[in-house]
Amino acid sequence: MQCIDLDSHLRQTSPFRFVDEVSFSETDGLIRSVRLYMGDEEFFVGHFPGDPVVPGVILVESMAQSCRAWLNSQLGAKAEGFIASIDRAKFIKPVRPGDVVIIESKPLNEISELNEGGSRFCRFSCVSKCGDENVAKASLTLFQSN
Amino acid sequence: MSILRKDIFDFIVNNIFLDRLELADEGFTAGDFQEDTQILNDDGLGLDSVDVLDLLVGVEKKFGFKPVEIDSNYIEETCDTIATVIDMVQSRLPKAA
Repeated sequence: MQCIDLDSHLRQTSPFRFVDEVSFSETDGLIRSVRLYMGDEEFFVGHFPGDPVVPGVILVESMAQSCRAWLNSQLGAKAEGFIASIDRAKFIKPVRPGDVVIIESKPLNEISELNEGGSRFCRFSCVSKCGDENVAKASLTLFQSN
Repeated sequence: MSILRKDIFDFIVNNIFLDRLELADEGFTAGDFQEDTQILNDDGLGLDSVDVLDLLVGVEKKFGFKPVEIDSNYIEETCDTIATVIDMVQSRLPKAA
């Protein structure tokens, strides 16, 4: 299991970092990340008052950051890029303060060296779980500019 | 146009351009497309990179291709016209024994 140094490979910082740990398993080819929603995050104040739920867009952003951290670790650089597309996003169960979300992401295409081919799209299939239950799924495409 | 080439053309036009990319909502019909229709150029369809990504991924899924890295060079080479996309598909289809 390869643990990824987030400060070295992820441009997002607090208060917009939504992964706590990211690792990659050569055995099953999956990127795994962990996020504990403490309950003191700013978005809970309005989403919703008296009924805090992690917004779906934050769950997707967490998936994207997990994939981006791994992608940049493969490239060996904190490469610039952004989400190009989000496909078939599903939000299955609400995520609440105190929940620990595990994201499993599978890279769908090979990644070549940083200085080949110019800008590129990198595709991932992501599942977020709390315990044994799926809470969200999405297919993501990240765009990376050289 | 061979039958197989026409099948690929029809899929690209009907399933991808008119349906998934919603060009039908912009007034396009199947008759507006030919093999030499330009995809990227503003004189043609002028599709953006994310629309082109949709096209290439749609083709991959339809024909069962393994996902490849889609970079700017790959897009320029394969998505100049509908004909170049068809050429790419035919080159990746299994050859008859």
